[in-house]
Amino acid sequence: MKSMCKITKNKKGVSPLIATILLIAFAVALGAVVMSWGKNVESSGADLLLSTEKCANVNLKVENVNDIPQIFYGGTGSEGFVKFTIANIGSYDVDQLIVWVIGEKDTNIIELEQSSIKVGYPLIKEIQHDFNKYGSVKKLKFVPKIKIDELYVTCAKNALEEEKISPVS
Amino acid sequence: MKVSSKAKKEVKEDNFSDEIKLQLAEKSHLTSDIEKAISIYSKKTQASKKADESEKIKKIFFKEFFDRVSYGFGSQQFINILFFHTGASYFVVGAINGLRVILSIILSSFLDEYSKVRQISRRFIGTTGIIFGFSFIFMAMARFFHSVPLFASALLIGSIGAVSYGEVYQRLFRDTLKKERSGLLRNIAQYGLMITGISILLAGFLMDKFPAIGTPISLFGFKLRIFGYFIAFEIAAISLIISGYVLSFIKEKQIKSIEKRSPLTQLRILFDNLKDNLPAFIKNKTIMVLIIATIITGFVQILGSSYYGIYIYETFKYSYFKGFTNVAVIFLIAIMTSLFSPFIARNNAREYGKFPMLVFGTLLMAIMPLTYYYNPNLLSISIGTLIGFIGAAIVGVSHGLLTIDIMSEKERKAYFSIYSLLMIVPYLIMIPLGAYAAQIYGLRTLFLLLGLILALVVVPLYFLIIVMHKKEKI
Repeated sequence: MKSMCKITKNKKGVSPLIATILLIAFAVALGAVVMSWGKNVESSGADLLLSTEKCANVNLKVENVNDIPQIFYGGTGSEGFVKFTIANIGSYDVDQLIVWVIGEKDTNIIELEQSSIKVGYPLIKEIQHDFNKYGSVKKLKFVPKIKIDELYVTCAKNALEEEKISPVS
Repeated sequence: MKVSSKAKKEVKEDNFSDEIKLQLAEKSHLTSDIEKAISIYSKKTQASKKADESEKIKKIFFKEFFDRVSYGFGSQQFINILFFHTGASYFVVGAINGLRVILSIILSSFLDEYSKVRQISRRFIGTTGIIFGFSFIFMAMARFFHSVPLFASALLIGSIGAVSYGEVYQRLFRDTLKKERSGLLRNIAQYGLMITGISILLAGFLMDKFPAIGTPISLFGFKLRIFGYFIAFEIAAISLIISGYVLSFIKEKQIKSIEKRSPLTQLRILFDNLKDNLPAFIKNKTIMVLIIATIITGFVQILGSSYYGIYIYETFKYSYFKGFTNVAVIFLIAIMTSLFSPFIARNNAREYGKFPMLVFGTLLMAIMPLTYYYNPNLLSISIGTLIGFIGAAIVGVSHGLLTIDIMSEKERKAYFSIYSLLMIVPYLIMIPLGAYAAQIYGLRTLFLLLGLILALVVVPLYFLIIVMHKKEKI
């Protein structure tokens, strides 16, 4: 009983230094919990959901003039080229394009530099095409890449394909 | 028995003293008569004063309501997002926010000194409120025309209006109402948080429902396009204008000026005080560390709050509740912490000491930007923001309590006027640098930097003081 009284009467408490260390430990633990909370479970799910949602807002279209898709090929041998005009008619900016040029012999995959397309804007590009190596152009596929939270996400399901490729006039 | 005119005056001014009773007794009146006469007169005047006070409280309550509505609809986070959408770069957003704070510090110091020598009329306060209101209309127009200079000017002018309005209104509030009554009204103001919260949510919803590209509607045969941000900012503007108007009806007490001096002389006195007190503060290591830590913490807060809203909006604009509502929900949760966080801070400061609580509060504040960097999902960002707000409250309360402990009343007055002025020069350098870092390295990197500054610079500063004063409970 006496010792109990001693405990209740002892008003010294913890020293400021100990109190600080205890509080720092508590804050660090709290920070660690918050910063990792849901990172594995929710984050991956949320990231996936987020990228799927954002990719759903991406919509590319090949420009048509008089019902002719604006994708042309020209040149000969290793001096060949493919020229195209595509527009972003979605509601999310495209940061980069991956272009597949599917040829008769092989497929050329190019990560296009400076190929961002803002919403409502077109992209007009000319890319090199080696007819000797890849053969004549059969199909073009445009895969958009978008930026989410400073990370690039490839929207493979939103790729645009075009088979009507005309020779340049 | 008639009560003398002097006694009447004393009763009216609430300074009734035994001296009056003595004077009447000297004129051979019976003590019981004196008490009776005074009590009857006192009751009459008390009743009319009570009615006056109730009338004032009604008006102030009405004014508070409109103020809270405008805080919600014109939330700083929404302003920053719209500023960014107008075309301002990260650098411009940060720099203008910094300039806004610096202007506010200068203006608030000036008004503080000015009010010591001149009485600021309620008409002036009302006018600043109206200017503050109109600045929202100009911001909405600037967003519509994509004019960054117009937006920046409106933001700066608005902040000048806001400071004048807030600072001077607080003084009027203090002077106009009796202590116990203003306490009651302050309690009511706590419920104002709810009004602000509801307004933020409504504003977020409106801005998402009617996005910036405009939603076509047909009204009386006319085809119109409506914009959510226009509606929200119009509501904020109208609320502030009404609030300013209501204020002009509140009767003010005549406050005697302490000394008749020109405001410029008063400012010179302020700078002289600064010159006199600065060496003493520099010599006192504890105060010096406090000043440095407060400046750095303030820098982190200014820069962080310039970008948190933009970051949340941009990261989650297509998910969860949609862009603006996400921001509204997160900041609504955080704002609500102000209902209880000062209470937590005060109790724990008593238990653990003020400096340990400063360390704790600063670390909690650091969690906020670090969460934005390490775990940018809506749930953890919400919790991180909530913890950050609690941390800021803890730091604020502990800082206030600490100044009471380590400084005399006179020193404290000098400290508060000095440290706000001392902030200006470092802010002029640090904020543009921070904004530039945001522009070059992106917001996530900036948040990492801000979190690390708090955890690795400010916390060790406080810790140093604790080690220096190991035995004392400060």
